[in-house]
Amino acid sequence: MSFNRYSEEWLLDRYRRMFLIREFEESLPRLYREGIISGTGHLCLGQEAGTVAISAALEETDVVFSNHRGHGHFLALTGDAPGLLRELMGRSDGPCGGKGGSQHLCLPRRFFSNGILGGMIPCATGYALAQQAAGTGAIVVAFLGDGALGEGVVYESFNLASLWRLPILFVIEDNGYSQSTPKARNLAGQISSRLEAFGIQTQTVASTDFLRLWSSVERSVGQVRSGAGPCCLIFEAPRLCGHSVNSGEFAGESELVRLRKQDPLPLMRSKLPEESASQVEAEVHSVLQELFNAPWVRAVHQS
Amino acid sequence: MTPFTFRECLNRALDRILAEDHRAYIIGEDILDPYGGAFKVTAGLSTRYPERVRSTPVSEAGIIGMSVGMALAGLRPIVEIMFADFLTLGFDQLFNHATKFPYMYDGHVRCPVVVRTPTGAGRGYGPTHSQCPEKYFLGMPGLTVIAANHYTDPYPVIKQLQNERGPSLLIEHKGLYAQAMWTAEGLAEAGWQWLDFELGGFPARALSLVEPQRCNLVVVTYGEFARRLEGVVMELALEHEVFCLLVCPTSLNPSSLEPLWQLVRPIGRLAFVEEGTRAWSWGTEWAYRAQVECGSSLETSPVCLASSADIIPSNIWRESESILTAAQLITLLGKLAR
Repeated sequence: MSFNRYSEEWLLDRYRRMFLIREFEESLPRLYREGIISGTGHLCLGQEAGTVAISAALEETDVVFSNHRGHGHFLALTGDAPGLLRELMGRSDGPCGGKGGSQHLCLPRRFFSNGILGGMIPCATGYALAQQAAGTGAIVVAFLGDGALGEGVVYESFNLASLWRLPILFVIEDNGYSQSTPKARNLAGQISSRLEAFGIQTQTVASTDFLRLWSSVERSVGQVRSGAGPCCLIFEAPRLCGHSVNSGEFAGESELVRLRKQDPLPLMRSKLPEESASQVEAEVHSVLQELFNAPWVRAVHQS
Repeated sequence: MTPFTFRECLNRALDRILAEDHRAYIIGEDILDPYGGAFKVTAGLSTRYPERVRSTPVSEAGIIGMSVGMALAGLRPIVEIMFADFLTLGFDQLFNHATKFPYMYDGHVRCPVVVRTPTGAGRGYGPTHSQCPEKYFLGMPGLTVIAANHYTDPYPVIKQLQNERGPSLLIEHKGLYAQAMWTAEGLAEAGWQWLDFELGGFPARALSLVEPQRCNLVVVTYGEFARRLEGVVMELALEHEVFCLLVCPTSLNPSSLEPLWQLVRPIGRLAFVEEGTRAWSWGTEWAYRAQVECGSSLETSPVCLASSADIIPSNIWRESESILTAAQLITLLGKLAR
């Protein structure tokens, strides 16, 4: 990682990705309501900073395993909003031919997601074993939420990854809610203690500030890449929306007000020159407006 | 020369696969030397391929899941699940992961994980170490289910499974391991004539003691039960003048059964025999398809014979009462032929 990653231009590009994820996802509920997208979708509003930081730290050959809440992971890595929209619409020219949809995305050798909580963690661990065996130097990142920590297979995977010192970074996005249930009702003890019990080096980042996240991400990714075995990053980041596009309120208004104070976008924006940030926002907005109003998108609505 | 046992044959097949293909891995519990696996199938392999024969913690879901990731990354893992009864612990990784990926990722990935596992009763291992759970996997889209038997060399079968698009389950009945593989000379000496054909792209064999056209009945079974049925068929012929065409497929869920129906139509009577529990089973599915696809050629409805629908007791005498016996088969098949 070189110092120039901290240049204003680099930071603006990170902000561009965060803003792309935010604006893309904020537009989705309407598309679901209009019937342009059917089924369900799980938004990651509020969790953009960690997602974008992870992607920024990865090399071309690294691999991401994602979960049901994976639009942000996909967009952070690829920036491919049209591709994601095509897949969400179930079109045959989507990355998975419309068979996968929101929760089942794939870019061969690069990105895999699935809708079973915790289920991808052993798959990611096996993928990391293949990287270790082939000596590719690539690392695997496996995203999971605090809700997935209720699943037993996750701990089987932590054990195996640590036992075999596999090149995998577990990223736990702790948004404090498992669907609608607050963490206090679901989770005993500390998340970090669970990882530490397996000898996995763990950092908890209790911030949504991109720059504070970034140093932890850089350190963890570097450590995994050095062959030191698995590491874990725990991002404490709020989910500023319901569990899915179909689910109602999960928190009271006062709780939502508290959560919105941790919104990573204004935090990041406050560190950037006002004019440049506005320009980035205008550019992303215009690209997405053009996308969402494209004839091939609206045609579905009319038919 | 003493014929190889199925265990020796399988061990050699795995050895050859590991030697030929650097992408091949074996992963499972307690498979390292000197122990060599609960049924000794992997004996010697970890010594020869220490990097690629991996003994794991007791984590069936984790093991199958890891092998799924390995397969996605281009490796060719073979998983050993110590007892088929433990497959349920890894069910989700087959049902919601390995089988789904090739389809839902629109053909961009292959996931040819081979899961090998011993099934069946006969040892008094009781309710959780004696079952034939393959029936619960037969309706899973995207999963190839194969039953080993003592006619078929496992080497080409496993090689073929490793070239599939998706995962497969290889059922090995415990009674098969110490059983000698049939050689052509052995079969001929014992008075059998046989026809080899393919069902679902995998080997199948039809055996009889007289020409197929003189048989009264087609009996279809799989796995180790074929060995037990050889004795039944022999006794029915010698003591009751009932002649059976015994058919043993390796693929349990082929898309087309037409090659089998070609053998069934001229004979017109048909039974399906399996060790697993009665009803909701392999036999009932195949019998339904027989009725639909060649019902007009059948003189009577196909019959399905299987074991007790109850849980298998540990007591070895009570276990033997719960599993379909040769004596019961002789009575029931004899009745069907008349």
